[in-house]
Amino acid sequence: MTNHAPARVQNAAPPAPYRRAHPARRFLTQHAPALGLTLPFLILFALFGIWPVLRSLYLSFTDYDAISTPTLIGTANYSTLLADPRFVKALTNTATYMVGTSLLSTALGLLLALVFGGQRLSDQIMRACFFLPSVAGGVGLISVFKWLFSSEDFGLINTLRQWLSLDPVRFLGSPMYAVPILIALGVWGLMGYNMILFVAGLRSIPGDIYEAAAIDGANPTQRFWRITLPLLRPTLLFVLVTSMIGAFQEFFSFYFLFSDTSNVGGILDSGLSLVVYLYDLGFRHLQMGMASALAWILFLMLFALTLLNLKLGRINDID
Amino acid sequence: MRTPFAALTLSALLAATPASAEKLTIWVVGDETTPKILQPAVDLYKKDHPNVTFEVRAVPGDQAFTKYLAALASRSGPDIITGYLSYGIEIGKKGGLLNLQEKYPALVSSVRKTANKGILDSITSVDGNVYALPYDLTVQLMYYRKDLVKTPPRTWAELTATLDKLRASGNKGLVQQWGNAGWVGFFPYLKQAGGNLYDAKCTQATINSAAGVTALTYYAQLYTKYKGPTDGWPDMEQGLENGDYALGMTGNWSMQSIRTGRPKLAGKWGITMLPKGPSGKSTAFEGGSLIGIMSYTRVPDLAADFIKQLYSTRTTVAMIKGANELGTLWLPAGRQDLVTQVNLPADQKAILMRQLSDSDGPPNCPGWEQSGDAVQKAVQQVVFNGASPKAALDDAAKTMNANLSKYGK
Repeated sequence: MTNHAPARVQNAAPPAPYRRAHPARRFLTQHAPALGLTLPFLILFALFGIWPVLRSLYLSFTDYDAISTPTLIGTANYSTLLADPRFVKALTNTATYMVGTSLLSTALGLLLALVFGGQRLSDQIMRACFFLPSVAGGVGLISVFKWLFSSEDFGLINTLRQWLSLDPVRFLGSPMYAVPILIALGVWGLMGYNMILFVAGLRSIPGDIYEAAAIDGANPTQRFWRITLPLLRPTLLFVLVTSMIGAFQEFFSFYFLFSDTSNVGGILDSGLSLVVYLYDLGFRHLQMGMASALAWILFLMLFALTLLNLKLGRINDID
Repeated sequence: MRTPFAALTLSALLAATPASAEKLTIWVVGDETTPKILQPAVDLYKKDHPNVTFEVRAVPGDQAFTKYLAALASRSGPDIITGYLSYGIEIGKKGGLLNLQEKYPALVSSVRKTANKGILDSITSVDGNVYALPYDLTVQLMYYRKDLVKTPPRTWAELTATLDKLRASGNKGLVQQWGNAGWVGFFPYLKQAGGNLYDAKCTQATINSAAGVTALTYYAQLYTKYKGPTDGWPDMEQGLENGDYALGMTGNWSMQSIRTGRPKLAGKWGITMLPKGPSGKSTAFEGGSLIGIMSYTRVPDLAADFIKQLYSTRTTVAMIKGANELGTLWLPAGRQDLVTQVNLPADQKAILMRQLSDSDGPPNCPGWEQSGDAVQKAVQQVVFNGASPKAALDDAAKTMNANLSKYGK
């Protein structure tokens, strides 16, 4: 047999078995330029995004007053909080506020989108009017609500009641009205924003589906329940999840309507939310460990809520 | 080539930072007016110490604590801060403020001689340490409409009799603002009844004493029977101006703001001391702010020297006058004897001075900061839920005692 292989090959050592590079190394080799470009962002994100979150997780297991060195105390902060009546009150208020605000702002946002979703000038003006509170929010909006609901005769609602020969109501000075007023304020600020999202969602539904349904004899109610609502499900889910998260994290309306120089949370904590309580613990009482624990409880609740929402969305998908 | 370049760089650096120059950074709690009130003190100090530069910045009240903590965490920021009365012991005990009693005892002892006693007691810790000194003060007063109340009430009994008359004539009676339906509002009534939040040595809560129950029973009826407004911070001045209310209780700040901002009330309003309770005292609540030196400062002696100058007659008078020109009433807590320099009509000034001599600040007992909410809750349980004053105060006392043990260690 003649060996036809070139001498160079014949003399060479047998090839090493093929070895795949380590995935991390391969990733680095493949994406080195992109990583180089994104490195400044990644460093900043790790420093100001990831590190504070991990640090707060550590602090939640410590006794820390923001000045002295933190000392590890295990899960004591969590157990103290769960047995704390102020935490329970804050949780009840926040949950009520969240349910009321997210459901009402979603329903009203959808209603407004259905009524003013058209292209006429009047629709555009109405949309702008309803959207205004969500861009002009903040302390100014809360001040207006403070005036609207003032217990005094110069409060707008009490002035109207007086014209109708009704006694004034202590809206801001009575525990029973605190959460309903906060819900009203939250819905007013949020429904216009939700309306815009729903308008976009409605426009993405193809018109020929409605035409086909109309030809088949479906009335407007049937078209809404059988076509509009199912096809709006992604928007609906997004609006609900973001409204719930926003409501859970609300601070300013609770703080500015119901806190004064000597306490936060208003009468018998009727206007105390979880975030306001977190602020109270951390920045009025220097209990940073406890405040961090509350922040993590808040995170876990929001995470569970979001998972639940997504799960419900998927169940509908399968159906 | 190298040596001349290095020499040039070094001389440029030296020229940029003269060794003798020192800087004081001061953060003052309040709006943009507050640095202006301090400015005369800065100007006078700079006149005597031309090498010292200043940076004075206002910190909004609701952000102050957070900003000070951030400064402490990073050990950079102001050398001197002003803050609410609770800041001294609260931050000082944790090592955030210099212990002035230890480091500058002469300064503390000289301020002791002239300061408002109530404020000084509030900011001296139970072990005698002083982490900050009194800066300014505010005190509760009773405001009234002269045309609706001919003789302002001088006792609890006269107050309720006046309210009965006012309500019979369709007037709403009394509006309370500062600490409305809360612990600050209740505090003067407790003192006027002869009670106190804690015993003299801070060993236990005494809020649930017989005097405490008398005070809370009386205080609650101002809301339940006499229907005082319960909003967190009702607009007292508006209520007095439109005649809805004939009597109002709040801090001294309204003396100035009514004069400048309520022309319709001109000649129609007056101030009086709070009514006397069963103990015969008219004690009012005193608040205010203090001034301290951050523990990390690199110029502690300079900061202490500047603070020392604040209490000189020349500087205090200049600050009061400066505030007068700004249309603000600034009451120096460290120089009670100079409060008379404020720009007020003689009769109002006399009443203000009398009320100041019968007023008291919040307690300095350990755990009070954590217990204020419990007292607030006790007051509100009685006012809004009709709870028994004794039971509500017992609950508050329990929390206060628990916090005494917890934070008194």
